Amino acid sequence: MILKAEAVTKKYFRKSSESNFFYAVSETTLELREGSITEITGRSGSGKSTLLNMLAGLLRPSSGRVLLGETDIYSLKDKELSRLRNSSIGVIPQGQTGLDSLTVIENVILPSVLYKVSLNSEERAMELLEKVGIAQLAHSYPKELSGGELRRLAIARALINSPAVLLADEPTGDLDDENTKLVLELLRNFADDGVSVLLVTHEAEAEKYADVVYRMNAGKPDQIKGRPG
Amino acid sequence: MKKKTLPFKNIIRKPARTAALTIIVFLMSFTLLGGTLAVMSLQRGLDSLETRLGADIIVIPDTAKSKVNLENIIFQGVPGYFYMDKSYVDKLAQVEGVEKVSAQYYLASLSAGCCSMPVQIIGYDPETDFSVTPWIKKSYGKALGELDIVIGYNVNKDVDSYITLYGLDCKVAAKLEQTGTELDNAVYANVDTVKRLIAAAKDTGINELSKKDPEKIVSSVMIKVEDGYGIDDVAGDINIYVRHVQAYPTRSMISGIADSLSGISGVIRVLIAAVWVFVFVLLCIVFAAMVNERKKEFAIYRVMGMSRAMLASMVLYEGVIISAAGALLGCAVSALGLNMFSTAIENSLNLPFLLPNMGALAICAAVTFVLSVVISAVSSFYAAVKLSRVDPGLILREGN
Amino acid sequence: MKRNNKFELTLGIIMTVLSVLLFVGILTFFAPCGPKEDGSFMKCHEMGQAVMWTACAMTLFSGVSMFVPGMIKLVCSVVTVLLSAAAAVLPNVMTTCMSEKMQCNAVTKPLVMVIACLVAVVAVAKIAVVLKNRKKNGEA
Repeated sequence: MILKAEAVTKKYFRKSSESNFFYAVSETTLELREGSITEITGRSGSGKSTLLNMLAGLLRPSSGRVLLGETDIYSLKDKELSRLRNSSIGVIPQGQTGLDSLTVIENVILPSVLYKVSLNSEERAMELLEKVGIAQLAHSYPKELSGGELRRLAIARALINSPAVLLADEPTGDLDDENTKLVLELLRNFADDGVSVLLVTHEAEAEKYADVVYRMNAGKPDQIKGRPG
Repeated sequence: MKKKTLPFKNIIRKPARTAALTIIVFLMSFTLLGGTLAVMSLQRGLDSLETRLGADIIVIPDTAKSKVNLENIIFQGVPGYFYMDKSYVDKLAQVEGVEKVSAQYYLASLSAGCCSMPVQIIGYDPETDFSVTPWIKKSYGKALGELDIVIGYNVNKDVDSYITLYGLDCKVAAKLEQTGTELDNAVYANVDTVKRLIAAAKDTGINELSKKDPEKIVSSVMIKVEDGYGIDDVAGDINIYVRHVQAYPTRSMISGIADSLSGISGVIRVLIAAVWVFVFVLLCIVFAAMVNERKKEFAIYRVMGMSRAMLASMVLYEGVIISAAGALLGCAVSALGLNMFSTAIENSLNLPFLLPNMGALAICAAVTFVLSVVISAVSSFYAAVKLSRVDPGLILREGN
Repeated sequence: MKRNNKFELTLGIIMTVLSVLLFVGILTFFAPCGPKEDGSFMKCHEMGQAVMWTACAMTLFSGVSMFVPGMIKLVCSVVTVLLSAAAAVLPNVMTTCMSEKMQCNAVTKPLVMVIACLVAVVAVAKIAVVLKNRKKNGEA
């Protein structure tokens, strides 16, 4: 399934300036294709995460549309959009996002039980934890995990419902070289399995794994690698 | 792992947060139920005193000491005695507007065979009595025999046991219901028993009794006023036409208590209102702060695909579970505490204090429980709904 | 110190403080009725003495339970539960004064029951934590 941004912009208003608004993301059109990794790189504050959040259905664009297949996701009601995100869009947010009250395996299972009673979600969660290499920590709590392990937890959680699209915001931030390589390889494997992956990162190493690369500059992405989307 | 278990896991895995919220709701329900029950108990105590006295007018000898003694007996629980000539009973019966008269006899035991604390003995005449008999009948169907006594609720003796009064072994025939007044500490006997006790007391050398014949004295006369006559008017007539006695309308005697009771009740009500306003503001601040502290957590739930409604209902569910626990604890502790310490409260307030019956108590507890849960659930829900309206993307952006 | 051990110690401290409160209280601010005018004791005196000695033993066992290892700690906590249950029952089974209005019935009895029950609850919680920790550490 293709996720597409059509002429999306994000405008923020500020009180203390002469020009009372600015564009975090200028008019942007891009497409995430099945089985490929699209990387967006750029400086901090260049609008990468804002673009990712708009694609994830987490931040309404000021103008433009985001289409998942043929569906304009922002035309849906909150309940429908949430359900769509739950089933089709896996998001790995920036930072540490483990839920402290739940064990690692419960964190991973949670998205799969929000809308249905899932019988084999525990098996699937264990499979994913094995894939990301933290199966032995299944019954630990996030507070007992290192930064790299927490990122891997977030990846497994984003994949529990087998989404068509995976959006990863700085999945290798604060990780050592070994863990960075591991996470990037994992994402490459998922893309090879047919998932559309968007990777927002500062990591130079990531370019090697990406099919298409954009550099974000003052809210505008310029393609620097791959076939135009 | 089920969606339903999520609120429980959040509650259990955050013991400090859970404890803080539980304590706030506990405080709220404890004050409301405790305060309400205290006000109700004071009112019920006063009502029960008025009914238990059972007479419209009480006539006693016209001496300052007699009045002080009577007030001590009724309001302070300090046993006392005073006597006047029996002939007054007939004189009082002839006053216009008097329907019934019945004499009572007061005697303070020196020792009740247990503690040095004297016990008030109240004697009544079964043939004429209308104020004590109705109460005794509730606990003891038969007429009291000689040296049979009925004890007040607070006298710590079992039925069929014996209490030694002035060397005479008196059998406990029955125990009266609780009134929450000082009359719970008294012992009741019929006129024959009391006369024997007075005679026995005389032998022990109580000065006031030494010159008197037990057959010719009474302590007070209870009067029931005929319908159509004003109680104050009849009491006024007695004070004018019958010399050496003083008539007190029962209602005016307890008006002093009623005044201090309304004062205390007022203070308690203000206190309840103050605590509730304070706790409500506190709850709103706490929930707002808590939701703010958890906003990244909430954004993660949204990222996973939780809808606004699901998120708000999860927070509401958590709020309801915590407040239900706090409210239940608050209701239980205040009801149990008041029950256990009602005598101590009565002693320290020096006012009649009678807890409401189980039905009224259960209704009060249920109302308090529902109110506490609703208030805290509303404040938690409001905070959650307010936050869920913000785009999770903005929160995640803020958090980094 | 591990979190669980800290919790165990906190429970031990609460238990001991409450036991001391019962011991001091029964001798001072919620003591039963004072002696009669002739100097002889009232009926509730023996109850007061029994509670005082029980509270003394509770203090000893709950205090010791904080410093001893494994099995002895468990035994001390169990003994504290039994002693506090006894302390809660004593004012109800032993003779107190005739009037419910008197200090021993109005104040001493309910306070002894409340404090003793609290100690029992905390001691049971401590036993549960000790057992859980032992299981976790693999001590059968």
